[in-house]
Amino acid sequence: MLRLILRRLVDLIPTLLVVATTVFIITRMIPGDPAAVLLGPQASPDEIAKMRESLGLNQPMYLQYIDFLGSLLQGDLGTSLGYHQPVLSLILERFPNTLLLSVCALAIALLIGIPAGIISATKQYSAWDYTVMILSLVGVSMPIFWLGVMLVLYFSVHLGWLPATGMGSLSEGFGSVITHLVLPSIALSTIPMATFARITRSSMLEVIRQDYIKTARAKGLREFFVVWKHALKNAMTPLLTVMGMQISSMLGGAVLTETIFSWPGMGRLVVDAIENRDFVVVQGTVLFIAVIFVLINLLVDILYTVVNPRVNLSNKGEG
Amino acid sequence: MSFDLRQGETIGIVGESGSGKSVTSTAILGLIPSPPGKIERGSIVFEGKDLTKLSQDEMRKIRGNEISMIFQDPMTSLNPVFTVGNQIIEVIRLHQQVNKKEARTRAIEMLKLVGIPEPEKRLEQYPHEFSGGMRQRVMIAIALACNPKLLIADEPTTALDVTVQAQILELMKKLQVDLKTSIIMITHDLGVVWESCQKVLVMYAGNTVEYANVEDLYQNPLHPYTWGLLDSQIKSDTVGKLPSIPGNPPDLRNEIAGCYFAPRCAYAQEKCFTERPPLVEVSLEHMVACHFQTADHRLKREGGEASE
Repeated sequence: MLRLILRRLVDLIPTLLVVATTVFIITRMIPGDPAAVLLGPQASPDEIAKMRESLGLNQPMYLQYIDFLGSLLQGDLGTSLGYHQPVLSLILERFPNTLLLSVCALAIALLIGIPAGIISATKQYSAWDYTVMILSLVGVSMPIFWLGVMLVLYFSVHLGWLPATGMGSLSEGFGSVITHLVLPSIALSTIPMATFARITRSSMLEVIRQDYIKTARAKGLREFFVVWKHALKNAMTPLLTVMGMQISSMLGGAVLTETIFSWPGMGRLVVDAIENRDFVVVQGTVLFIAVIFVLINLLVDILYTVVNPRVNLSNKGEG
Repeated sequence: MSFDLRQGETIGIVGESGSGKSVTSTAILGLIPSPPGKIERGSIVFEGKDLTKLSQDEMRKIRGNEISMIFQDPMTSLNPVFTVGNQIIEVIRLHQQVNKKEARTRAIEMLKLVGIPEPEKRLEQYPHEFSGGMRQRVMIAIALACNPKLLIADEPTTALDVTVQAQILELMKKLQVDLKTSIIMITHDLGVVWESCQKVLVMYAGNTVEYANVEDLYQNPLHPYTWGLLDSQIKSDTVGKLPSIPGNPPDLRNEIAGCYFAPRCAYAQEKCFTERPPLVEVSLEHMVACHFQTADHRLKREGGEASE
């Protein structure tokens, strides 16, 4: 298992090289001159030229690329053009915020989505089943920007219960962070929740017809244990795959949610950086997100072996 | 249909696919999915209790404990994500007041009993690390772990290859003697019945057509359907194509007035299509449901090995 993890971490290197190159090319292709954006509309052509020189933008592309990779190897993601701060410290400042939001949204999605799917599967074609399936269809199709705005309008503007934007701070007390978290977490959780409910239902329906479920019943087990122990563990594999994808995309920056609620996370950082042609920040954050994706995938692969003993990742033994 | 079974006895239920053998057995355990399944009438009496009148809670205490079941396909009957030990220990702890360690000891004993070598090691393994025959042994270990009084074996050897079939039957016979378990052996293989049963019940389309002692059935089969079944067995002198019963079992969703077997019966007459024959005792402990097989009137069996 340890060897597997090490091997996968080594595999990370070529992946990152490809991502770095792609990001480098794309940021150079975005129209607009970073120097001009940086200095604003009043800047003279002279000043802009000077700025381009100091940013290294006048160097041939291949030299820029080598410079970029060279500093990457030293763990240097560069210095932001707009914030005048190292990109890594910007990311490390924002990432915990995104992590907090994602974990809350994920918890809501799992705690509601999975049980809803299980109950749907055990009561197939019941009123409950139809309700859950319709709601989950609505859930996956509802645009976050619309839902987010509706939540703000109702709970913040109309009822005045919860703050609309920002994330509060611990200095204002723990409650402030919680109240700021509620609306964005709900908005961010809808799509994963609906997806989990649907996947759980279909996976459980397949498992519940298996012979070993009949065996479990013939043993005299309560239906609760038959479903939540014997069936659920077998139904976990497809669920894990989807979970991994949802977590990766949330951690990669919930761009829409963070924008609507002015949540100071990774998503906002990327969007702002793109708007300001801060290509150094764009490069750095995209690379960071790529690493997160690969690590989550590795984690999911490891969890497969926990959930399903027939999965043998090291390709050894009879598996 | 109706049958009774004494302690330590084995009854065989035979019939082709779709004749209701498995439904009968699942009904005994109260495991027919409801809806749509429902026991409309009749009774299943086990040690003086009518199982059809017990609550779900009471039924659960019987399942896996006093009556247990093994299924046809050992490859799919064990849960792939739990260790074999876990699955045996689960049923022991469910029905007996023992701690984890005692249950583990008992599980090891059970694996030893069903002839699995290195039981301590095997306990920690998953079903996919076992062969088909070994898995069926594990199923038997699970089924017998709580010393059930009745074991329902639903085609326990059908999915196994022939050499393993013999081993499993041998094992079941040996354990039956040791544990004094009664067995309901569901099969379509008359050879299995001959090997392991004292009584046999021949089913066709959800009804009993013949019920007799095994020796009696083999020496003196009465129902034309039983004749067909016996003829379609491979024997030492079988040459060429194996005889079969033409046609298929009827669709029971349609109303059928006469004998269910009449459309496929070579001996059917007009009466067979209009009136259902009752199951009657034609000689001592030999019951048959046929208009023309009665105490004082017999059909003459054509072909096959009617007269020996």
